Amino acid sequence: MSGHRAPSLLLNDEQKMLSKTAHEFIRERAPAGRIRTFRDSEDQVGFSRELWNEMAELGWLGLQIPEEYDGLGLGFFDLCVVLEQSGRELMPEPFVSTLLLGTQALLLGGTEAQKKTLLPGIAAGETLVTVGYEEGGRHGDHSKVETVARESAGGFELSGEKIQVLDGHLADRIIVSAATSDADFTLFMVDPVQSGVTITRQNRIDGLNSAIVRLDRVSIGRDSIVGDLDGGAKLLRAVFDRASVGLAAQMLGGSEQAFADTIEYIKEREQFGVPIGSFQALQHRSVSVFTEIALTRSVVLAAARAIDEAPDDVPKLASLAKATASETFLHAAKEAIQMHGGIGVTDEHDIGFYIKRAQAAYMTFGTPSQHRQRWAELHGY
Amino acid sequence: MLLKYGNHAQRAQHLPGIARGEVRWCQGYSEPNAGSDLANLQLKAERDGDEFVLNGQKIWTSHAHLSDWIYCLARTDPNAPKKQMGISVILADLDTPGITVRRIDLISGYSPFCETFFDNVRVPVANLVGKENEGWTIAKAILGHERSSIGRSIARQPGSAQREVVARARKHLGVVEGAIPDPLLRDEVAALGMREEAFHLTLARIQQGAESGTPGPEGSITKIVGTELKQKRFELGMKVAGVQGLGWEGPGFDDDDLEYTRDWLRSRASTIEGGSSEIQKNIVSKRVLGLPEGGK
Ligand SMILES: Cc1cc2nc3c(=O)[nH]c(=O)nc-3n(C[C@H](O)[C@H](O)[C@H](O)COP(=O)(O)OP(=O)(O)OC[C@H]3O[C@@H](n4cnc5c(N)ncnc54)[C@H](O)[C@@H]3O)c2cc1C
Repeated sequence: MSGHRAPSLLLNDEQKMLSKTAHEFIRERAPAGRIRTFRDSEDQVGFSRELWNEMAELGWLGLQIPEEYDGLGLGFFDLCVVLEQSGRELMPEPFVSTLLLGTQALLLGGTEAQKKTLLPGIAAGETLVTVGYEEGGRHGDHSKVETVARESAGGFELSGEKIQVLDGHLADRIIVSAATSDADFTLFMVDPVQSGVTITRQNRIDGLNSAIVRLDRVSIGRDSIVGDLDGGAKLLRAVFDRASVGLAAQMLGGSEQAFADTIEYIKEREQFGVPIGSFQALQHRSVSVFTEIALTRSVVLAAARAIDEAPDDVPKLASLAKATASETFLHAAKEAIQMHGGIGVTDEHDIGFYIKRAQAAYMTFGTPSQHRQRWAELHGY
Repeated sequence: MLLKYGNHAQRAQHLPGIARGEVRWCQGYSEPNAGSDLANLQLKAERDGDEFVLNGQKIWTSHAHLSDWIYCLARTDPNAPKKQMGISVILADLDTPGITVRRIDLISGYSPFCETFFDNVRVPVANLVGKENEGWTIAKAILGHERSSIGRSIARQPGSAQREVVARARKHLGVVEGAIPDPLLRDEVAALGMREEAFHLTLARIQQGAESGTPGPEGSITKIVGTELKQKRFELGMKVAGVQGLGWEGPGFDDDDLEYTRDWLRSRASTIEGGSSEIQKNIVSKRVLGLPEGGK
């Protein structure tokens, strides 16, 4: 992108409308405090199926899915408009697992049959598809995979363990990475009802739902390959790029909401007989958060636009968006707690949920320093 | 300023010379006790018939030693109830008797700035711009214009800051191509490159918003971000040069490095001049975030 004309970074009228509708719907129906309710009631689902179905009816889940698979056939940019709003209230619904990981893996690497079977159900809110790639212990390096796929008579036999698989407890399909040669791995579609699959639910700080997925000699056919045999690294990288941008849009929303709540709070809260928002120390730090959010908005919009219109720019801009949004969200969430004072560190107040999500999102799909390293490589230094 | 606030005679007298590039002007706003708190200015202008008599001092008048005319903010009513009132904009020919100009040396060794002293300087009342005692409005308008243009004007080409630092790193670390060997340094350069890209995309977004008739509030932060970016660029450019960046003049240092070092020193002023970053943040807090007025 450097040196070229900048892409359009504005929302068109329909997108503005979509943003507004989503904002109002989510604020009213899905406030961040739900995370506490799901946690404390030990809800088996961990999010609202009804809400997910309603959003499907509104067309939001199929925004980017092509019309031939019952979607609306719009762009990734449009999806990001909704993702930003979902991020404001930290929605635990399966946006990341299904719309970012599963759907993008299918769109980028799925066979016609896989797409036909799964995408319409995703758009309708009925089908959940996730990707299991995390094995732990390698600090975000997903290129070395311990899960193995051995060739067998009818296809492959998978053995290994994936951790923190988002929405793995409910997913209808789990796409997993498994080593198929010394050099590379392959992505395989697994149906969790198959024998040899064990799912154990996990509890994380951020209210997103996840599970350990254990594979013990799970037999699958060759038609379960997603993408190319031994082509997993490249495909997963492309899926992560898109997922990073979508997650960055959610982080942008989370930053904005944490910041808006904080500004409102420091205007109201009085100490020393005046609103604490009149203190310059807090004012200047608020301006810093405001500034970071403004910069983040620009990079997220540019990266989302590139996915639809300038594929060559995607690696650089995805890394830029993920690194920037990760730093901004964590910064905004920390400042939000500090400016709320004691109430900010209580479980009773919702603001504490923002730092938990910020930390989780920061660690997902590569940390800022990993993305900076990639940026440097892409720029030849 | 003259275009918008000058009267017909003033425009006829001055604009042609400015347009032809023959007559140079400098800005006389700041004073020793009126920097961030500009409204505290004290340059006195007393009416005496159809002349003003100016007494006092201006500082930071850029290029005053090379200029022909100065436009000053002066106090025409010392008894006004608020310090923002009672200020007027007055034009003066720098050749007028009583004006002396002294150059200020900056830490960079450059001296494009001056102190300008006024000792019973007489200028015709016709040199008053706008209405007497209502100069503050004009001053604020010009400052606003200056601030919004600073962020944009230091922006340069997208990617140029990163390229500059990478080139200096290659030169001084002797790595012709490939990765910068020090991973921590590379991380800092990448952080700079990302910041630069984010800044340019933000400028583009502001521009697009303005063109589509929906300007957002982000314009207010470009000076803060742009000047910090500029300083970071020079800091990193100095860091990669190691001791070769320590030259002031003379043997053992090449011209590019000597100039770069001077520019690094000059860059420290960018977060002070044209309204310091702190003052910008005060303005954004109030005007954009709507935070309450507090201790100044
Ligand atoms: C290179 C250069 C070129 C310049 N060119 C011109 C020119 O052409 N014409 C002209 O008129 N002036 C010019 N200036 C002057 C410039 O506008 C002032 O230097 C600037 O406004 C700061 O004023 P000061 O230097 O008196 O610092 P001060 O106002 O004394 O500020 C000192 C420090 O205190 C901080 N501070 C002050 N008030 C507050 C507050 N309310 N809240 C928080 N922090 C605060 C400042 O941010 C700064 O960090 C120039 C200055 C420089 C350095």
